[in-house]
Amino acid sequence: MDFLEPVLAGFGVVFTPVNLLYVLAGVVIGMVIGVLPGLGPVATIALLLPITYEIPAESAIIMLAGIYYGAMYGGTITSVLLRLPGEAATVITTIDGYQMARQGRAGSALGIAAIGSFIGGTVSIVGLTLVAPLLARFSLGFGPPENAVLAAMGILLVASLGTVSTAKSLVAAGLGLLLAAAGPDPLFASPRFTFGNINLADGVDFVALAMGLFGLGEILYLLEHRARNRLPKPRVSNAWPSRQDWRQSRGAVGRGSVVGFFIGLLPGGGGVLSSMAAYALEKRRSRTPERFGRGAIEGVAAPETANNAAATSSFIPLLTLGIPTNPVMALIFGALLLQGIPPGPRLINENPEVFWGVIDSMYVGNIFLLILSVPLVGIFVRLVSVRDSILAPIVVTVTMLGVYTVNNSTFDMLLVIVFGVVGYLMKKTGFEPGPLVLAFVLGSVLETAFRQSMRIFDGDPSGFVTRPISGTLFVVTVLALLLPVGIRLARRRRKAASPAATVPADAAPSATESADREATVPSQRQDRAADTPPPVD
Amino acid sequence: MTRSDLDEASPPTGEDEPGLLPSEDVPPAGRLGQLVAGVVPVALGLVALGYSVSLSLGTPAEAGPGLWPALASLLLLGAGLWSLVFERDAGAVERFSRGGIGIALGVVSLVVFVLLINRIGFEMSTLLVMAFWLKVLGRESWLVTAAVSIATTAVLYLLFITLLDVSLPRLAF
Repeated sequence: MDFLEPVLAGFGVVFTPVNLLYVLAGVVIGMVIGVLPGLGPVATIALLLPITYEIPAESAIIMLAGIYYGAMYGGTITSVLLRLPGEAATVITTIDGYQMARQGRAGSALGIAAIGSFIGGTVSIVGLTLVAPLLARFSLGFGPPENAVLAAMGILLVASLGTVSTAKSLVAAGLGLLLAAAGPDPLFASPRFTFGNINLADGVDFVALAMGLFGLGEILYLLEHRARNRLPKPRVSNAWPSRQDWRQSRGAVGRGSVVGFFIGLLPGGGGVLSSMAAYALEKRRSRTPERFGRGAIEGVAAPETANNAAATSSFIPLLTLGIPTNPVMALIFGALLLQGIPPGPRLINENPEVFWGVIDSMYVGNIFLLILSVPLVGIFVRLVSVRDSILAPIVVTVTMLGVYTVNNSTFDMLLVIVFGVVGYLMKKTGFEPGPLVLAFVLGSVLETAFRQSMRIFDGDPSGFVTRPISGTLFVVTVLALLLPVGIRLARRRRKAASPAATVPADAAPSATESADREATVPSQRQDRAADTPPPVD
Repeated sequence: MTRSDLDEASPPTGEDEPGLLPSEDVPPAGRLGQLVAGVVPVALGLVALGYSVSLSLGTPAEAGPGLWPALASLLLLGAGLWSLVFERDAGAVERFSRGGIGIALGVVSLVVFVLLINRIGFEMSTLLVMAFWLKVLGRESWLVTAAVSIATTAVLYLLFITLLDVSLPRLAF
């Protein structure tokens, strides 16, 4: 059984006391920040980058991964109890989760979310364990042209899937590529975009960029958008889901696991999209769709299962192809680079302790989450009342001091401030920092691969299309880019036919409908569902 | 303003961003604000393109240092133009309100923090910047300000100096 050997060795990495502690720390931090409305996993991981630099690579990534899937669960708690999604991937859970809480079934909702998350996560890890080595072996044969197309595909798909406007995301991506180009030319080492500044001679530091855009930028934006009046705290009956609850949501958990796993693999996929798709699927399949929006337990089970499954499977492209598919993965990519470990097909053989350690830690982390979540609900709910005015300065000082420690450089602190302002302005003007950071991370890989390919092709770019693997990837990318455009055009035509697009008085069905629609058109707004007022009884 | 108008005004959100939370609605920017937001990427693209060309492009097979940045600038320029011409949707850009003054103050305080840290060490600077954010920007009570800023500084000291043993500029005396 030599297939199992590295997997078991990975458990050896996880079951050291230190690493178990990092798993625990990761999932607890994740749950806490999932609950805090102002702080998501992206900002937190950006914030912790300097600390991970100080600890061994496998421990660092184990903790960061724990934060990511822990946050998925933390966000559920506030979604269900307060109708406040602490985290974007749990927005859809507010629809039925909050209704369940109002009917006194909060315990059932949280319980099924915990169980669903555990099952979804575990199914996804099994998939990861089986698929990742195969994919890594396959992609070992990739040459510069394949790598170039793959990296370009990652950037383009993230830009087209994630947001309101593809053009604005592409602007952000272009900016990211330019920032990545600053510093020495990768082949000739002649300086570019350094403007004679010695501090820029090695280019822009990833940690400063990420912490500025995601950490400080987020906080500055938060300062202007203070959370509105808090909702009263509901009673939590600590009842576990009944047998009937489980029977009702069994199918939803199963389908959510599969949906989540596959959507997590896509660039731009991840928690948000998968939770929406799983919810839409359940509603469409249901024989009693009218129950959705009125406290259907499947409406909690499916998205919660799916977002955890997706959070796990989104590690596959990163660990095997070296392609981050969402901002969190871009940060983990950066964390690996900081440790001197380039993520990609060679990771599994050259750093098996990182590869299998991280994967196996997720089994353990999901068990921790399951054990911790139910008894700690009361404490987590209380966290919601931490004021932004207290949270903001703490986050800011941790950011500023943290970035200093990476290079002992006050210049990097100034860079954080600059990128913090840029991030704030971008959010203000409808640009997303996510594609920028992704493009920045992939920029040098892409440039080197592109220039080497052009050398191989003797300057003829058609080589990208005629090579079988890169050609296939190219066609897939083009199709994936055109699909949402087509759907949007069709929608616009439909909308033009029926101009009465006002929100109806009975808002609950409209919320679910819009969720339904948005799941099929991922680039649409995702905040509607959360914003719709509860139905008037 | 109808409900759907407000929805349009809320900022775009993506993976893992807390922008989905109920927040005080910041109204969309006027024509000028949108125009500026649309023109800036285009201008940046043009400047970067000019600079890239000046670095020498080389040939497709033997690219010079400027070819790749030039391609990236073209992407920026093209997407910026597309967004400027076809996507002038009113909701995307928020108005710059009076809240912006607080943010400007916050940014200035951080610059001062960076300047101070090499002179008086990180302990005092952290305490000062925390107190400023809590008391002036956050309008917290003196008690909360003192408690949170001292506690945070202490925890940061424990984390960075005692636990991780990293080199931060320390108290000068």
